[in-house]
Parts: sequence; C-alpha cells; structure tokens
Amino acid sequence: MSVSTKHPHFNSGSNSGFNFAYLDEQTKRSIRRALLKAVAIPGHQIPFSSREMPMSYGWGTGGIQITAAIIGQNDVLKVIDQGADDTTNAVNIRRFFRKVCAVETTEETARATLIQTRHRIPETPLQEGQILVYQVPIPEPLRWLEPSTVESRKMHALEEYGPIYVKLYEDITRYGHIATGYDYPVIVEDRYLMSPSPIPRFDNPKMHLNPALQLFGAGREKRIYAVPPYTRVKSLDFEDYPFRVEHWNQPCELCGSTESFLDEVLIDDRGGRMWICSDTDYCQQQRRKK
Amino acid sequence: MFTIPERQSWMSTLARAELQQLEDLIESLVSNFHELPNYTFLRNPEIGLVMVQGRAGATGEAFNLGDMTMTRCVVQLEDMVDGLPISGFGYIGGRSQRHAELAALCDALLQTTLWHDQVQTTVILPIQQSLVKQQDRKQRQTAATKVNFFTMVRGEG
Amino acid sequence: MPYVAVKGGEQAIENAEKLLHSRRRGDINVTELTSEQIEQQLTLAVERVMCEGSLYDRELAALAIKQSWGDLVEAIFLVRAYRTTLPRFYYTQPLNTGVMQIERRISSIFKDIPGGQNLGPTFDYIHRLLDFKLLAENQVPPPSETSVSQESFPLVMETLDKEGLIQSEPRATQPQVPFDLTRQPLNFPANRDARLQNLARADEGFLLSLAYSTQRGYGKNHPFAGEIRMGEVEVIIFPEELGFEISVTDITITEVQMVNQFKGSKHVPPQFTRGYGLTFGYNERKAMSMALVDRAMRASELGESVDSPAQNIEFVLSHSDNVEAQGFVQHLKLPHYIDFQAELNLIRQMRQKSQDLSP
Repeated sequence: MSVSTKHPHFNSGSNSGFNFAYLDEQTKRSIRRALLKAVAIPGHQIPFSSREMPMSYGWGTGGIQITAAIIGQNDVLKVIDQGADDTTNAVNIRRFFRKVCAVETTEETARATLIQTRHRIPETPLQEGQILVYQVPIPEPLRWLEPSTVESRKMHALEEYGPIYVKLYEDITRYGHIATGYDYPVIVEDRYLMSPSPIPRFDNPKMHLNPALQLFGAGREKRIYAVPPYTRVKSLDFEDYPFRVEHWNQPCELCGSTESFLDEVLIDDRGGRMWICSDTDYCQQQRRKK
Repeated sequence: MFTIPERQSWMSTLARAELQQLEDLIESLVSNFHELPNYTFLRNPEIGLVMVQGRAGATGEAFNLGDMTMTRCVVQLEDMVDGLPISGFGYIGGRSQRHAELAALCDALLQTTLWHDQVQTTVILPIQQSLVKQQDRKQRQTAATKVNFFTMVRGEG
Repeated sequence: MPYVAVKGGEQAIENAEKLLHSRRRGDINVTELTSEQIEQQLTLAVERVMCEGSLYDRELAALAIKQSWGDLVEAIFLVRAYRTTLPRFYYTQPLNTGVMQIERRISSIFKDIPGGQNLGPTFDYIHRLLDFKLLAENQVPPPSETSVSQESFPLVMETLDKEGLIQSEPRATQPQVPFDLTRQPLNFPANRDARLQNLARADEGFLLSLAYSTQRGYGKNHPFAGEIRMGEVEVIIFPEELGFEISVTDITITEVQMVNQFKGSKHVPPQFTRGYGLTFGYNERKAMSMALVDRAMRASELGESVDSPAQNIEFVLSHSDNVEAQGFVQHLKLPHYIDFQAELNLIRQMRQKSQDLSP
C-alpha cells in the first residue's frame, strides 16, 4: 500500500497541501495567546507548547513558529541571518515560507512588514507597524549563572539580579572592562532582565524605544517574550563603567560606511582581510546612494 | 436484535481485518447475496492520531505513552431500514481511508435485519477464524520457548 | 575592487539536496531497498523509530528510515515532524498490560512463575558470532511449536503486592487527566506522569548510560527485574459520538517492572520500591533503562539524597530528547561569525591593553 504524499488536510492557502504557513489554526491561536501575554509583560518569558517543525530545534524553530502564527497573505517577509539575506539558513527559512504560504518576500528592510532575524538587528531604522522576530537559542539570561530553571524563575520573580552584576564586576576586575561581546543582558522597562538573543552589543541600543514590535522565540527551550514598541531597554552597566559599543578603524570596503557593523572576511592565507557591512541590504542601499 | 457487546465484537473484528481480505469477502457477499445498498458519508474518512496511555507500574496512575495513527469514518445507508436511518462507524488503526469506509459500511449492514446474518457468516466469521489461527500459531511458537523446570506440575491438556 | 557581493545560497542548497538523494540511493546497479523490506527485516530499527518518534505506525517509521539513509535519529525527527501535522482524535483507555498476547515473558526474582519463563525471540542466549551465511540469501527454518497450556500470565508484581512487601502504585480516586508533553511545555517540579511520558520517547543511548551509572554507584540502588513482558495489547477508545468502547487494534509493547530495595523510614516500614518502563515495540534495553531511571528520579519523593545525575529530574528530563539535542548540538554549524567577530574584537582589545600596560 503506498503512502500518500499529500497531507490529509486540504486547506485554502497554498497548493502544497498544508495549512497556510504550515501550522494548524489551533496551534497558531495558542502561540498568539502566548504572544499577547508576552507583550503585556515586556521582557518576561512565557512558556509555550513548541511544535516539532520540519527544521531542527536550534535552527530557528521558535522564530519560525512566531512568524507562522502571525503572518498573513498581505505581509512582506524578510529573513536574515548574521545580517545577511543570502546566508544558507536565511535562504532555507525563506524557501520554507514561500513553500507553505506563497507570501511576498523581500531583501529591503524598508519594504518588509515582518522581519525574521538571527543574531542581528537591521541597520536601517525600523518603522511603526513593522515586526521584528528574533531567533533565540537560550532565552534565560541567568542560565550560565544558574542552570536550574526552578531557581532562575525565582530570581526573576523576586528581581534578584545581583549575581549577574557580580559577574560583570568580576570581568571589570579581571580585564578592565565588561567582557561580553554579544547576548549582552538588558533590563526591560525597569523590571525584567532579558536576553536580547546573541546580537552583538553594537545592536543593543537599537532596541531602546524602537517604534517596531520586537518578538523573541526560543523553540527548543519553549519560551516566548516581547518588547512592545517604544519600550525602555537598558543594557546593564555601572555608573563608572558605562555601556559601550564596538567600532572599527576602517570603513566598509564595498560602500564606505563608517556607521555599520562590519564583518571581517579573510581573503588569503597570509592574514589578508577586508571589512564589509554585515547587513547586506544596508550595504546595497548605501552603494545605490553613491 | 443485537447487543452492544455483539456490536463491539464485530467492530473489533472489522478493524483487525487485512484490507485485501475485507475487499474480497465483501465481493463474495455481493456475488452470493445482494448488491450493496447505496450509502453516503456523514463523516469522510479522515486520518488522525490517538494518544495511547499506559499506567505507572501497570496498575497505577495513567500517563501518555505516545501517539498512534488511526482512521475513522461514518457512513449512512441511503434507504431507511425498519423505519430508521442506519449509520455505520469505522475506526481502524493505521492510515487507510478505504479500510475505514468498508468497516463503517459493514457496521451499518450488520445493524439491519436484512444483512446481519449474511455479513456475519460471509465476512465476520472468516476474518475471526484467520485471526484466531494467526494468534494460535504465535502462541505455539512462544510456548516452544518456555523453560520447563518442573516436568510434573504443568498438566498439558 | 576585486570582490562583488553575489547570491549563491539557494542554488547550493538545491544541489546539496539532489546530491544527498543520489548518495542515499547508492549504486543503481544494486536493487533498491523497499520500505516493506525495512519493516519486515529491520523491525527493531522500525520499533525504535516508532518509540522515540512517539508515533506507532510501522510503515511511516520504515519510510523515514529509508529516507534518512539509515540514520535513526534523523528518521525519528522525520516521524516527529510528521506527527505534528495530524489532528488528535482521542486518548485511549490506559493499556491493560495484564491481558497481553505474550511473545516473551520472564522474571528474575523467582525461578519459575505461573505461566512460566517464556524466552520468546530473544538475543539473550545467542552467541555473538557473525553469521557469514547471511551474506547470501538464506533459507530460514520455520520456528518450533508446542501445544499451549491453558495457564494465564498474571502480573508478578501483584504477587508481591499481596504480601504488602512492595510499594503500591497509587491511582487517583477520580479519573485524572495525565500531563501531555505534546500540548504543554514541561515545568519543574515534574510529576510522575510527565516524567514517564518524557522517558518513553527519550533517546535510548542517553537512558542506557544513565541506567548503567545507577548500577555503578551513581545512586545506590540494587535493582531486580521483577517482570519483563513483550507482546500485543489491545488499544481501546471511547468515542463520544459512538457512545461505547471499542477495540481498534493491537500494538506490540515492552513492559519492564524493576524492584528495588528500600530501607524504610520512621513512618514507612521497609518495602520494595519500583521503577517502570514501557515502550512501543520490542525495545527491551530501552524499557529496562527507562525503569531504572524512573526509579532513580523517585529518590527525592522517597526521601533519598539526590546526588547523582540520574536522580536529578531537571537534568534528565531536559536532555533526554534526541530531536532537541541533535538540533542544538548541530546548530553550531550555522554561521556564528557575528558573535565570533564580537569575541575577536574583545580579545584583540584585551591583548592590546595588556601589551600597553606591560613594561
């Protein structure tokens, strides 16, 4: 007896045989309920019942489930990884959404209504009405200090964030400054300690009072959290050791920008390297302006 | 005319039949007895899951063990029988829309005075016999692996 | 300027997929493997995939194995992802393992038991000598048969239970709705029903090693195999629309009851304590491991000190799922150059500083 290759559910939407955006409506609803709770309590992690997706846990299933739960036929979707539209995993996720909902995709930040990202915030400032969905590997900012979720939940409830300040202080005594380059912890709306996901510290300031809605999905760990538009987001620091971002001594090789986060690219085996914008769309727009 | 335990029994038999066997037996029913009545779907055959539960320690609290695929279907005979509409229900393990449909059809026929005895003898009984035969052979094979420590105590019948 | 940004990801991915399919097929002069052959002749692989994939469907598991080029963890992932696309119709009545078509049934705690020690199709007493006759197709002689006695196979644990020697398995007074991992995320503390569901679909290797550790002193427990039984049990559902129970099919399961010693406390007289393993299919090693780890995780409820990994409920349950585990371990292959860049910047900065400071 042959196995049917068509999914038994036949729905309007795409002709792939799956429901629009792959998830069934019941699942989408339960994710949206979690999202609403998350928006109501900025920075606080909400557990959700993560589904097994056709991509592995750890490869963006949290972000994918959020996107699938909120995407509509009229959305314009952008997917980036490390700031670029053409990295293999971004390509793969974009392929997936094209297959399961035939939605319009774009590489231009300004044209997108929904942006799913891994490890970067776009350089182009976001507008009201846009949604940024972050892929998060470890949603718990206290995880490296406290492996038990029973304990870390208590710490969040009691606002006991002393240990993380101690860790930053230890960095200062050892290295002379805070030694965290990415996934730099923040306090949201003066209450919850949150992991911004492994974005470089360079990107942290973009989160503060951003006009867009920022949603965070951790599929494997089964947590969702959110930063609503125009929310205060402050990176942890000390009065005498204020938060600082990285800068480079050279401009982008392709577009000349001195304002964006640069990737280091090795060009030969003698230590030759060049520096180019990590955000491929931003770089392209800059080049167009010249 | 029939009791719930009788209906449970034939539904269980229909669910365990091999699809090809069921098709063949229904064929012979048609050629030896009567054309099948027309029927419509009250519920189209649909494939889904059933969550199998176990018990901790075999006798304690229930827990969810894992899912199993199954197919279900409800048909209604077009003509009323004995003044009542007859619906047949098919529930089978696995993914076979055809099997669920045939099980539902037979369940409906078995509820009617016209078809009950024929379906019982032509379809149900042969399936039961082959199931018993299979089971019996398996039991005999297992019995051959029994370790006999005490040659007297077990009275072989 | 020598470099221009070029798009190349999509084509590369498509070609990689084609290459994978071709390698999976292998030499086209060799007959293609059918999923039927896998179902019949690699049954234990199929049963592992059903067990950890948490979906009892032999054909799907066999197909997944074929599609995965033999990688069982990949196959398990395929089955889990497919499971997500199907609607859930019912929950069954709890399986009655006391009424089983026994294919194998043994107990280590009594020399003989009602119904007898039935070895079944076991590897236990096989001499592990490679059989080169299997390199060619082989006529397999039919198995032996003997007449069947009318004895039944009562649960061995009930015998111990009658003497009051063994910890009882409490049943809720009202029918309780067990926790469902597929519907709610696991939270700690986790109750027994959630723990057993998690263990039932856990990676066999992980449980095997943890179980082994409990026997080597990481959690002091001397376990005995009270009963191991394998065979088919009825699956019974109660569809509301029908109004009565029906038996839908039979499934093969393996059940293990482990018996462990307990010294007793001020309030509880000394009793044997229990561990339970239950799996889809003939997965004896997994079911035994599950029973040992189940018992280890009951340490805190029994007032025992929790000081080994197998006794740490959060540790065991958070790392037992190989679909989650393989995803996260393998995600390290994704581009991480932004984070690495951040590290590079920092380390250069710090080294610069220490150079500046040194005389």
